[in-house]
Amino acid sequence: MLYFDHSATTPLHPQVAELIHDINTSYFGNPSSIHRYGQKSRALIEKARRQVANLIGCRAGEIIFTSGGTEANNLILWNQLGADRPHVITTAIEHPAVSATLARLHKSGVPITTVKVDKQGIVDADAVISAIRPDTGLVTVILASNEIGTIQPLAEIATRLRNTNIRLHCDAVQVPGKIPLDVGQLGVDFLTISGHKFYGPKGVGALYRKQGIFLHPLIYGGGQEQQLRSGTENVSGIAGMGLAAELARRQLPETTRHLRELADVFCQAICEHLPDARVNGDPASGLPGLVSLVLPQVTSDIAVVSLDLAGMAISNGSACSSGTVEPSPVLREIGLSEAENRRTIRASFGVDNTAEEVEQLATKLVDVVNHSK
Amino acid sequence: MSMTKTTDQTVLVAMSGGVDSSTALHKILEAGYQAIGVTMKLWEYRDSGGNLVADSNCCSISSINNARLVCEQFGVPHYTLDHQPAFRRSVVNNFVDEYLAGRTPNPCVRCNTFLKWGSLLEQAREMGADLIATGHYARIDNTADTPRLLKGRDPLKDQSYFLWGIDRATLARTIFPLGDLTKTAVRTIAGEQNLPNADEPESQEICFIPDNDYRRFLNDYAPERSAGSKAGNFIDENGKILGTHRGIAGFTVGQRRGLGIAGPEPYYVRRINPATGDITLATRAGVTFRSCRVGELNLLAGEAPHSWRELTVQIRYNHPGVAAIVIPEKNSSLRIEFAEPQFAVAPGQSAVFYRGDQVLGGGIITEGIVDE
Repeated sequence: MLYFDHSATTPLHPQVAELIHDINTSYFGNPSSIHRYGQKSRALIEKARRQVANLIGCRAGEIIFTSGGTEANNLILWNQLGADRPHVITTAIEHPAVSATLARLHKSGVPITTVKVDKQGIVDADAVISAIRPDTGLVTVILASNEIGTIQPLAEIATRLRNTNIRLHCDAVQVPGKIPLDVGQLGVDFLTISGHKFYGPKGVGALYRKQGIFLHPLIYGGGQEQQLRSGTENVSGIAGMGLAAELARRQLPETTRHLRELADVFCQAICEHLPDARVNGDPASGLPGLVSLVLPQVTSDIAVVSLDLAGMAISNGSACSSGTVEPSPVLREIGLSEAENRRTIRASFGVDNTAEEVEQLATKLVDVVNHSK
Repeated sequence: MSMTKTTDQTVLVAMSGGVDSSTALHKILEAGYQAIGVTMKLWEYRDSGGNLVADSNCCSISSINNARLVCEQFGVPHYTLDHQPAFRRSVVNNFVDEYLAGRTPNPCVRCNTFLKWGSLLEQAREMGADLIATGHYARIDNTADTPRLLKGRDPLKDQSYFLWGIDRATLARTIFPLGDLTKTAVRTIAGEQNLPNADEPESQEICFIPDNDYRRFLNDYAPERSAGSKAGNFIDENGKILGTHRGIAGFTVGQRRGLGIAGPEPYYVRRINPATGDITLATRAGVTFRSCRVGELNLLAGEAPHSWRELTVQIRYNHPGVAAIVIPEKNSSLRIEFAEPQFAVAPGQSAVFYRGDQVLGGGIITEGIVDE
């Protein structure tokens, strides 16, 4: 089997897998315990906190470990319920971890403004700023779209928000290990990442919270993670995410180059053999290694199934929990028709993919499209 | 089912997540075929209500996951394919239209005709599968020149009634692995194979109305049209007004419950007039029909109706069948003369024609005729 669905999740880096295994078999102490079992576990977590902080250019104390990106997003967004300035500005192409949470908050009276995106899937910073009201407390913008890979002008939005008391949150789950990520340069107050998107384990993520900003927790209990995320820590998962962060940071320039090259190989092959296919977004300026493609004729579910049966894993833009391929709201927002929406696939390459593998994928995909004629 | 061992043929097995389709998959693999499991996502329960707590029905996440678990157990790939738009268009909207017009539809028939032996069969081809299999209790006899659709061997479970509408040419690409088995045998096999759903309860209701409350469904799904459903009078056979009702939608010929009209003997719905809104009530003896008209024919055996002999017709699911003769009329319609008067011949229901075990074809009842 060949795997081209790294935006869904990545395999564990072998060193990370080894570390997690070692911790699970050797260190079982509760990090809150006083004895040395606890001390060892505590040390593992704090080391990971530094590694994750280094990945995104913040201080260790600004990292809060959560069960994943979804929880980190929820933690930020639920703070708007009952806030002095509850109004939230967001974009039309957020991941459901943000958009569905905001839909729920809206039901409880949190005012939401959703800003449109252009055909490339990029939000206009001016439009975000124009949406500001006296009661605006939070702007939340995805950094790189999980479906089409376009990158949003976060730094520009942050600059325009400077000298306001509006907080800026960014869901950056797709980004670590693909392009440089620095919370200082972005100018955000909060940022969400997830371990399993950069060769770390599932079930662990992190929220960056700029020092000094008060938040209410979502989960109450023993007060772990600076009172913001109670519950005995997932020690091996957190340590695994830490090591994955360190590896991602060290290999970043090489990874970026490799992923861009793979996407180029794929796009060129498709361009040559399927001239009627159309690429969404702009792979050259977008997230390295992610290609979203509107196929001629064949629907994405049949393409995904046929490729799977041929031993190649890709996806469409947004598979729901039942595994059904349904039209994607994000693709609708960038102006795709219902039919184009249902013909859109996503290939997302990873560090272990080779140019030969990507050529095989293109060849097989061309076969699938031609077979359906 | 055909037991020729042809390991190079791939069969798409339609998996609801239930015990029947799971056992069908086992039988397909046992017969030596390659298999692909597919669950058709037909419906979202939040669209209809009625299943917001219970989560055991087809198309729910848990039944899809059940299908996936079974496929994983057999080492077979499993996919969930979205058929919601076609299901809504071809099955659910028709169901609403029919009830609002005072008829009694068979959505399972249309699902088989337009979805399973329509869009799914087309996808099977695109996926490189030669054949499709389902867990229906029906058989296909491949010994003749062209395949013949037969009743399932288990008289209590026979589902051939729901299959009359499928395109005759698709029979050659269809396998019914459970056709020779009884439900009891299927449960035994499922138990032996450690299938997770071996003991699941039987479901009889229409899949998109899990609470079996048609009125509630019509009100939830098509509130404006249901509210506009023709109100009118309950009348007796002489036209005497017995009471009023708030809309014809949801009434079915032969219905006794929920009329709210008392008489010396129980009243049943005999006729629904969508133009006037009148619903004629009668005692049970007054709701029997000597004959009926049938349209939208599908001749599954290829024989013209005038050549049909030794015919029995089934006018609803679980109806025991009655001997009949058919008289072709104009506009491809048939008049069916029953050997014995039949209770509650409901317009909109399927009439399915059998010779012995063989399905000759079927159609939609357009009117029941009391006498001439």
